[in-house]
Parts: sequence; C-alpha cells; structure tokens
Amino acid sequence: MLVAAIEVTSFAAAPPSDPPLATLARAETAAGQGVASYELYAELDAETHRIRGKGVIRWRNASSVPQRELWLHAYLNAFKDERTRLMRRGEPDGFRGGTSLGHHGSLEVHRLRARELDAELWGGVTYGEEDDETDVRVPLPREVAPGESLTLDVEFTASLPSVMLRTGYAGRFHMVAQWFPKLARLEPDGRWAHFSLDRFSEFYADFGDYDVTIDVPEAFLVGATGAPVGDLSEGGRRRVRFIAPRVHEFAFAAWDGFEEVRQLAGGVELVALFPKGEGEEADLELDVATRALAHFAERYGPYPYRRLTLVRPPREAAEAGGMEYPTLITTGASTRFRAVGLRSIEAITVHELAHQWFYGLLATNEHRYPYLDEGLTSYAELEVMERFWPGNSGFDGFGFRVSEEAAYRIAAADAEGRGRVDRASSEFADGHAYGGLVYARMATTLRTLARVYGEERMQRALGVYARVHRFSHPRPMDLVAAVKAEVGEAAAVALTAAVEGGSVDVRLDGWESHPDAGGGFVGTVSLRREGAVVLPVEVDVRSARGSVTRLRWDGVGEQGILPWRGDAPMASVLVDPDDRILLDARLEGRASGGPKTTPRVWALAACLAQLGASIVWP
Amino acid sequence: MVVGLAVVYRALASGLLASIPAVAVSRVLGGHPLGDAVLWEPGGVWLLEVVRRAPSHAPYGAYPLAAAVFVSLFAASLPLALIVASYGSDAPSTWTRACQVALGVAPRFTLLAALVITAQTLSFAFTTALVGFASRPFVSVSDERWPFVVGAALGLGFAFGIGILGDLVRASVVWRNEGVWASLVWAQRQARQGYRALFVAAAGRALLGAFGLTVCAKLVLALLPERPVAAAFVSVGCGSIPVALRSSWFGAVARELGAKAVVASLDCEQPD
Repeated sequence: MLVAAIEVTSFAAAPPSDPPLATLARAETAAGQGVASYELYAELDAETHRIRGKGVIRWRNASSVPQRELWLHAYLNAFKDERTRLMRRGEPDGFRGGTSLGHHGSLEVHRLRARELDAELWGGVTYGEEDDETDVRVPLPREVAPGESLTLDVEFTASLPSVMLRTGYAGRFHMVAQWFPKLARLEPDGRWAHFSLDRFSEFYADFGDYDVTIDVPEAFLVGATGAPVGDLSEGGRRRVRFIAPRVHEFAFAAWDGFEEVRQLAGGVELVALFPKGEGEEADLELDVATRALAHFAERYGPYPYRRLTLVRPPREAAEAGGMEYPTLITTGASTRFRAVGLRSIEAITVHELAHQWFYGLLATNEHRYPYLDEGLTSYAELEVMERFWPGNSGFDGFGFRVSEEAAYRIAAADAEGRGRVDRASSEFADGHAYGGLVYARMATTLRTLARVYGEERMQRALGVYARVHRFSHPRPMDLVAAVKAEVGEAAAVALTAAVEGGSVDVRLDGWESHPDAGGGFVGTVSLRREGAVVLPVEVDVRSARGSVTRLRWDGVGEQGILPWRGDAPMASVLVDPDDRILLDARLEGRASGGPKTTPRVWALAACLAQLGASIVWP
Repeated sequence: MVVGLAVVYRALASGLLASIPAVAVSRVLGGHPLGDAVLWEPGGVWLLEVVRRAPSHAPYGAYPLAAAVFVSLFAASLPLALIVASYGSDAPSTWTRACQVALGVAPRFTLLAALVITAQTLSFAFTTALVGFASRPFVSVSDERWPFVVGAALGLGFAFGIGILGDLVRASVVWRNEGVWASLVWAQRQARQGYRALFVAAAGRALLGAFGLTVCAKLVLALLPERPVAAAFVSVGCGSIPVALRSSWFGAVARELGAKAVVASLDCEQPD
C-alpha cells in the first residue's frame, strides 16, 4: 500500500517525533489508494502572509501510457501580476472575484527533486502559456512507466494575496487554499488534464492521502481539510498535524479571531470556526449542516470522513466565503438576511455541503465541465432546501412564500440563449453567463426532469451516479447514462439537449368547446412547443361548472391538439398547472379564461403608494 | 373639509398609480384561472415571473415616468397648500380664494419638495457613511456594523430635522407669501426659538404615523390573499392617517408660532 511507504520526513523546523501520532496517521490513511499523495509542513508567517513549505509528493503513473513529463499547477501565481490569464480577464461581471488586488500573491518553488530519477526537476520547467505561471510543465529525464511511482521532494514559498477569489488574507485572517505545487490529473489515456487558471475555473486533481503539519502563531485557531491528530504549542508557535485520507485538495484557515463550536452529527464531528459575535450564524450553520448531512448521506451515500469543518470568514474576507474543499467548507451571509425573510445562510451552507459529494467524492473536471459539480450541487441544494422548507425555501415574508427553485428558474430563464451549458469554464464570456448557465440552468434542468418524470426516479438516478462514481472522476456521459437507466431514454435526451443549450417554450395556441349529441360538451386544446428540449406537458381544463380535467401531451412535435369532453363548456385552460417545466423561460401564454382583473395587486400597489407618499411626497 | 379633500386626493392618486402595475401584472398572468391569487401561492413561481416580466408590460416608459413624478409632486402640493393655508390667521374664506392660494404657492412647494427630499437623502447617506467609515479603525471587526447603524440613526435624525425645517419654510411661503430663501431664513429663526416644542410635536406625530401605517400595511398584507376588496379599501383608507397627522402638525406649528402669521394677499393676475 502506498501509505505503508510513507516516510516521516524530517524538517528543519518540524516538531519532535511523535510515535502515537504517526500510528494514528497510518491508521487514518490505511484505506488510501491515492495516486497523488502529499506530506507537507507549512509554516505561516502571519505578518508577511507567507507560507514556507516543505515536503514530499508521491505520485503514481496510474495511466496506461509511459510519461516523459509531469504537469503541476501553481494556482497562486494567478495573482502574481496583472498579466496572468485570470487577471487579464478583468471584471467578472456577475460573479465572484474583484479586479484589483491590494497585495499580489505567488507560489515560488525552490526545489523539486525526484528521488527515483536522482534529478532536480524545477530547472527545466516551462509554462502552459505566456505571462501565466499557473500551469507548469516539468520534463522528466526518462520515461516513467505505467504503475511506476515517483517521490518528489519539494520546497516552496507561498505568498498569499489580499483575499480574492477564495484565497488570501485580510488582516490576520488567512484562508490558505491552492497554496502548494499540485500535480494535475493524469487521465487513464495518458493525457494530462492541465490548464492555466481562468477567472471562472475551479480545479481538478487525483485522489491521494494528505498529511499536513501547519505551523502558526500560538494564538491562532486552525481549521483544515481532514482531522487533527496532533496539536503542539511550543516557543510561541502552534503546530497542528492534519491527516486527510482519500481527498484531492487540502486547504486551511488560520486566524486569532476565531471562536469555535463543535457538534456531533451521526458520527461526524462538525467544527464551526467563526468570528466573535457571529455565534448565532454559526449555530444556524451547524444545525443546517447536521440535517443536510443526513439527507445527503441517504441520497448519495454516506459521508466517509470523520470530521467536517465549517469556516465562517470575517466580513472583510467575504470573498473567501461560499467555497468548498474536501471536508472543509466556507460559509457566508448574515442573520440580517433572515430578518427580511431570506434564507441565505441556509442556502450557502447546504450548497457547500452538497459539494462534499459533487466535487469532493465525485471529483469531476471542474475546469472542463463546471456544470457537473456546480449544476448537480445546485440541484442537490434545491432539493434539500425544498425538503426542509417546502414552498418557502428561498424567502418567506410580507405574505409571500418563494422557493429557491423559483429563484433559480428566473436566473435560468435570463440565461436562455446564452449558449451551451457544457462549455469549459474558460469559454464563458462573463459571470452572468457562467452563473446563469452552470449553476441555475443546469440545476433547473435537473429539477424540471425530476418534476416531469418523477422525483423518486431522478433521486434514484443521481443516487446511483453518486454511489457508482464515488472516489472517481465521472464524465458527462456517466451522468447521462445514469439518467437514461433510471429515468428513461426521453429524459436522457432532454438532458443532453438542455446542456447543449436547448430550450423549451410551451404555449397555449387555442381552445374551443361545443355541445355534442349526447348532451355533454366536447372541444380541443391546442398547444405549441418551441425549442430543442422535448418534454411531456399537462393541461388543466376547467368547465363552467367547475370540474377540472387533466389532459396530457407527449410534447413531441411543434403542435399538439388534445381532445376534451366535459359536462359544461370550457371556462379556462392552464398549461403545466403544477409548474413542472421550470426550464420554460416564459409563463405568459400558458393560461386563458381566468379573471382579467388583479384586485390584490392593485390593493398592494395602492398601499405601497400611500406609504411612499407619506415618505417622499411634500 | 380640507383634510377630507386631501384624503380623497391621495386615494385617487394612489389608485391611479396602482392601476399601472395592476395592468402590467394582468398582462403577464393572461387569464390564469386563479387570477392574481396565484401570486400568493407557496413556491412563488408565478410571483417571480411577474416581477421579471411585468416591467416590460408596464404602460409607460422612463421619460413619461419621470414626468409623472414631477407632475405628482406639483399636484400633491395643492392639497398640502390648502391644509397649510387653513391654519393661517387670515385663512381663505372661500374655496375660490383657497384655490388661488394653493395655485400661487404650488411652484414654490414643488421646488421645496425636491430640495427637501434631496437634502434628506444626502444627509442620511453622508452621515451613515461618515460615521460608519470614520469609526472603523476604532472598533473590532465583529462590531463594525454598529457604527453604520449609529450613523444611519443619526442620519435619520438629520433628515427628520430637515423635514421640520422644510415644513416651516412651507408655512412661511403660505402665511407670509415670501420666496423660498426668505422663508428659509425666517424658518430657521423660528426653529431656533421653539425647537423643543416643535421637535416634540413633530416626533410624536411621526411615531404615531409610523405605527398607524405599519398596522395598516400588516392588515392589508393579511387581507390580500383572501379578501382583496377589503384590502383595497383599507389601502386607500390608510391615506387618512398621514393626512390627518400632517394637518394636525401644521396646526401645532401655527399655535407654537403664536398664530402671528397671516395668509398673504395673492392675486391670480400677475401685477404689471
């Protein structure tokens, strides 16, 4: 086993040898089957915001092709200057991340030596593109055969930027993510999935075992990927050792302003780290995480780690909030949103927790297929939110109840016509397109399929997908195959059409009824459908006596004419009465025959006018 | 009588304004069998669709809207001028005379309304930002919201004071038939002399008004889903609270200033 071969690397500043800790570490990682494993020592200078790092990377050529090169990612170099790919993209316009950095960041590698090759490798590196050092090619002096392993000794200095796009520092708060030289993933066919970090890009890596010792000022609390197996204070410094088996990333937060609360949730230890004065928010997050953890475990398989850390960044580091790492999530929003009826804290917590499955355990290529993690995560978020707060999962106030999926539907509708959902993250023109398509449109597509073809079938499909591909790197075809197997061919076709940018618009084309010879009434309802996504649709016809008949159209073709028979003339018609086709961007033209007046809206508007007049009129 | 007319005016104006969104929403709903009750259904799919789509169905554009706001400011000044005039020591004895007074001061009232609203907005925003940002270095990160809260409270106080001063200027415009600047000079002198009594009179009525309108709004929201007609009546009726309180406030101003003011002689015809 790989873990059996882990050596205790000696560091100049490392804590003294601790046999019980080493034993624990081995026990924790005994199940490890990692391709890329890291044993690192990180010393944080809280004044200069630099991390001096040392360690060992163990990599195995898990592909079927001999390799003459490695590809590494040095993500912090995205913040090195204004010429990097990420900074050149400018204003995200509709998505997270600003454009100006108070302080730049970088990752400087001092040493990368391959023991088996007896060669220093860093001297010969080149970069994936000009002016960007996030994508690093490392030539090897000889081929590494399939199945062969390399042990790389590494030394580096990570300079954190002022907090931007998930990582960095604000005052003495440090969110340390993408901070070490990290191997890109080698696909089974021998091609490296490497890329320069783009504005909208996230990450992709192999699973491995992480053993990281974090050295911080003594007053700092640390939250990190994995679970602590040792905590030693000495000489004004604190060293905490974290073990994280079978993960594909390691991040940590360190700050002397944290408070900590712990809670057990079905055998998982939840740890909340939060700024002083935000205990109410932290309690809410823990409560939501506890409930959601059980829900996701039931749907997508158990959470396989023993700890989950929730980090709530201070307000000046809000950019670091709302992000996922294996066994660690960052949260955000304030209880002030609750005061006006919004469930922002709950939604962010549930979303990032769902990423523990759709990112953490199903480690899809986030750069190439961002919709596979963000879209499925958003779907899972909507499902949980609706289960916990049916009908009012997004907002509940002033007499109105709004579900989150209705809000996502609006974002999805606004993104219609902006192109394919299944693009690589670097191909999105702006944040509106990225957020609207990858998050909202994908989630709304999946919710539409669930509502049209049945919640249980869709749950089964995603449950199978999540369980079969756990601890692996599924691709779009795997998702489509699961939907096809559990929901059906038509649903799989609709899903494919939607991610390729297709839309659906179902409208009422006309309706009529007349007496028949038997004393009743007969008539027809004519429907029209546009767009590449084909979905069955229901229609409710209400007769003048109030009886309601439900008609169904398979949605195939541009027009459907549905026969109707009733006890009185048709009075009104409503297409898609249960709002199953959330993907339809326009609800206008779906109804006819109902009241034309809007007394409630008029009364509400008059009331608002009176209130407004009392404030601004003379 | 004047108060009753002002209430009717507000009811008509608010009803007219309310008909714009009502028409736009009806176009989006397009004959939904549930009518606009669907907007109160759990889930809010149609509600958000209406919020998204109704603006493109509204029967007006940006420029007409701006014009409508200006006209409404002008028009709204007429009943207010009538109320103010009725408290002068030489209040108009006939409706014709009262209308002459109202029309005569309406342009100055409109200008005043714009100035007061602008000054209130700026003072609120400036005070909130100044106190909030200036205090930042002195408070911990977890407490940094409080300076903004304190700043906003102070800003509201300033805006309230500007509102009182604005009303004194209005009183001077009607009772003394002076220009805006001369009225401002007079108003600030009066405010300095009787600030305590004026503040108490204004604050008491403001609190009462806020309470009354809050109760009204809650009642309207509760009635809307099931009893829209009753909600509409309550909506319109809510307008009587601020009008009555405003009228009472100008009465208090007149008493405080010793009813020295007289309504100036105004002629409809311009002098040669």
